[in-house]
Amino acid sequence: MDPLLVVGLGLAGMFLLIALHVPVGVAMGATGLVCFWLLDGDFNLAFSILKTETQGALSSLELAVIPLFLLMGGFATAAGMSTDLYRLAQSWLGHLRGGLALATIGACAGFGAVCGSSIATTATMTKVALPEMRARGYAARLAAGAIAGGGSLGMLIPPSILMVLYAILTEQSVLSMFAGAVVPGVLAVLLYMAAIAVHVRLFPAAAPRSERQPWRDRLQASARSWRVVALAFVVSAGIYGGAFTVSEAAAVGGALAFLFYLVGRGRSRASLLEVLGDTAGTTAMLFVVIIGASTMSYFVTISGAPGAIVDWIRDLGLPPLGVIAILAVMFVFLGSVFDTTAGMVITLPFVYPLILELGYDPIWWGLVMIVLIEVGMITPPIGLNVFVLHGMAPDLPLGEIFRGIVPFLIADILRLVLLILFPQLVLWLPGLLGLGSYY
Amino acid sequence: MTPPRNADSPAAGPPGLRLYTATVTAARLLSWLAVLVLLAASLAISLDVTLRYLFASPIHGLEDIVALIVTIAVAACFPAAFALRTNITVRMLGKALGPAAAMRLELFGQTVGFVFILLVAWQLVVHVGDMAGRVTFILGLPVQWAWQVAAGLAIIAAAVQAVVVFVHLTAAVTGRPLPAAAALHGE
Amino acid sequence: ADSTTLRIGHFLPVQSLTHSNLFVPLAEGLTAESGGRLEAKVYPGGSLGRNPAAQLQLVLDGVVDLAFLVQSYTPGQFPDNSLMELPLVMSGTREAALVHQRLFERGLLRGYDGVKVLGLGTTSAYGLHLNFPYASIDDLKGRKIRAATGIQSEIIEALGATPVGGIPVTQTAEALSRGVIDGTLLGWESMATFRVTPVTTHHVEIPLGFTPLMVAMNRAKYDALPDDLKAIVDSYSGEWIAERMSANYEIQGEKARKEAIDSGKNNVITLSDAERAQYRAALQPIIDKWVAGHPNGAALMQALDEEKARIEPAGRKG
Ligand code: NA
Ligand code: NA
Repeated sequence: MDPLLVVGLGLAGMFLLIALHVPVGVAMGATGLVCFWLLDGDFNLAFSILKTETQGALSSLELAVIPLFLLMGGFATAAGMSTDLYRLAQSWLGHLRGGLALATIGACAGFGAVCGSSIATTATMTKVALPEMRARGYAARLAAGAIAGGGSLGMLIPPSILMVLYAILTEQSVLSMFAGAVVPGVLAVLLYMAAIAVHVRLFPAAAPRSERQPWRDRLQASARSWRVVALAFVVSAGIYGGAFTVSEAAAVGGALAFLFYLVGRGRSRASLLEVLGDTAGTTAMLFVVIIGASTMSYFVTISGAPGAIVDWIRDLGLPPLGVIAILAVMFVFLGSVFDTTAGMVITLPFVYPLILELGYDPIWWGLVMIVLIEVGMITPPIGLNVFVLHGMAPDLPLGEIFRGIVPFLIADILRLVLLILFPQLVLWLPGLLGLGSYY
Repeated sequence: MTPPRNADSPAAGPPGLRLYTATVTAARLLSWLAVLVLLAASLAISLDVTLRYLFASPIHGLEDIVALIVTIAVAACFPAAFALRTNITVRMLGKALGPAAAMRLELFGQTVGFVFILLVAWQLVVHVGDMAGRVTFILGLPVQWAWQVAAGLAIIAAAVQAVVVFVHLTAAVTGRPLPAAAALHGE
Repeated sequence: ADSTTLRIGHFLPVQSLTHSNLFVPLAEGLTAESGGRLEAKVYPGGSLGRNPAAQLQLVLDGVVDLAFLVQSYTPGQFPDNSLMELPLVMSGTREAALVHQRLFERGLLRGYDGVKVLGLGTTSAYGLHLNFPYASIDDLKGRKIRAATGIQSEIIEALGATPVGGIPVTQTAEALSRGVIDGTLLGWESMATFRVTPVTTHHVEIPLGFTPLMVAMNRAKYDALPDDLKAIVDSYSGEWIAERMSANYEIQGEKARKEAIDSGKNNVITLSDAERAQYRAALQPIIDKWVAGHPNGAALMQALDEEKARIEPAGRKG
């Protein structure tokens, strides 16, 4: 059978299952198993993929970072640090329209500097920022958009699990990837903030303005948030100063946040159990999605569809920018269907040679592709960041979150166009640091 | 921990609600333990990192033990996630079609979820066999026992999900909806 | 359609020599010589299973028909293979690869029963790569060096340094550049693949062991082939693979080593005989302990020495 038809039917089946209230991860896994079985003809073989991916997820040290960072976010919140942070944000930015949404973006960027995953960033910031924005009368749409959009900074600002993986699979330098991501990351923050500024100008009711705070209060609020600063400082100084690796940073951050919680006023049996329970629930929820998505990737690979699509693109004979445009659309779609890692791993062996053939820089393409996949994570029909947010705040309707994404999506598209037209935005810093790419 | 608001008036919830509530309580207890263990691992890693940084004498082979602990602890999070139905689910169709259809859709979705976790549990049992003789990287500790525990936890998650399916079945048959997850959280 | 599909899966990059100069010729050779009755297709870069530790299981289960395995990722499964990891026992990649292959052929290595072994090999020799100035073995005292296996841990301790575990090879460059660790044991080709060369300055060339590698086939799939197709598969097995794999690693390793020397920032240190003797004195107890503590230790070591003596000069095959 035509590989594109097989994959098309498989995806249609998956969407049907999701519409029928089957959990997303389960729907992906089930589709993957059934389609692999249909293509290969061996029933037991399909199940063994579920085994490989389940045991792989349960024993992966890279994924072990997820519960540890969730624990850090949970204890930081329970210790009242999020309140501190938002009091700080309110005191400095609150008199601006959309001040707390701006602060959410800043907090996501800060958290992204210690966390390698956008799903974990979204989950943590949902807990930290959403209650604060809603308590202060922000429109659900703006609050949700800022978190889901800001959450993608977790993967876009180094360190990033996806950048490490890309560097390994293409034999590029991880440090080059990290350096190349700095300018696009700053650009993302600025454009998201601009998106908020424009949005609240058009819809002033979305973000109530508060009084400008006197300097005394600002300084008090700043002094009170020393714990957040200390936590962020120890974690990032530890990583960049050579005390520990990124994986260990997750554990140190979790332990430190726990100590702050233990000596703080928020300490209680109920809040402890809430942190433990939330961490467990979110961890299992993310692992089910990861297991489902990676189970599904096998059937896509053996269908031959990724190779067929790349051959088709090559045969079109388009100019390089045209090929990049087609790949861009393809990757946004991929990011919307797969977890980011699975989407990249499946396509890289086919797409990467094409990129080199066109004469593009591999570091540049790696970062453009990661941005593309992250955009897919916040767009309908399936946006994992959005689902994580919805899963943790079920009273926010999905449609409302997706509508809230729109300003951030516009910012993303603008950023993508800039990155594609001006590769120097990516390549300038690695060049300055003497880090190149390898062909 | 508090029972659902309507536990004392069974007419308000579907038959089997008490069994379901008890299941939720047990699964949550397990998940609390799991995350406490992860917290202990975080503290141990922090100590290891500090010793290494200050005195160049890390805890020998700690990463081996952490790897085993993480496997078990993550698996122990599954029963609670299934009991509380926190898996990411899109419920737009049910909202559009009304409560009766929503209950049937939910029953369908949870049943597929049961089949899935049952397959996962079965495959983890198979995996235990694969792990015979395997040891950890540095210390050479046996690893099979950890996978036995993880497989056992997946079986527990499947049993939990069976209760979830059962209570959704009685809900769909009697037309009495389940209380919201928040009520079961005791929040 | 009486053609048999063979899925060849590996987790290495498409750009690696092992992909282009082992798996691609293997797939093309099998397909061409069978006149298309074998349809071999390579799935590179982990697109059919990206977890290096799961490769053995993928081929045992039959998700892929052929796979590339790093045996030290499944500790305990191949209990005799730590022999290859011992320091100062073998010196060259080709020697190590052929010894590995021939010890297996003599039936001395356990743990291979489930799969059809097509061919065995090793990485290039593990040397010491440091980000601090090295003048003598005493400079290693108290330094933090990455260890990936139990034997590496013993080696580092015997050299007076502190073994640091839990750092995947993929995070080694990052850990070195930030000073989490001061050095690592690695083969030259991995130094290039994982970009460790730019973040290290001193490289002590001494063979501290080899990581055993394997190309394996699903046994049932092999057994089900008619005899003439089995013969074609066999012709691409054994020393065809050992020679090609070790040649690839030698080329990659030599290229990486030359790049380091040419960079002007890396000091590649060749030890004098006296200095080698110091390493020998420090590390011999590890070898003795392995031989004494291993159920078949003495026999394995003797067989290894016999096979080492029998290795012909390169160029005979491949
Ligand atoms: Na990040
Ligand atoms: Na999407």
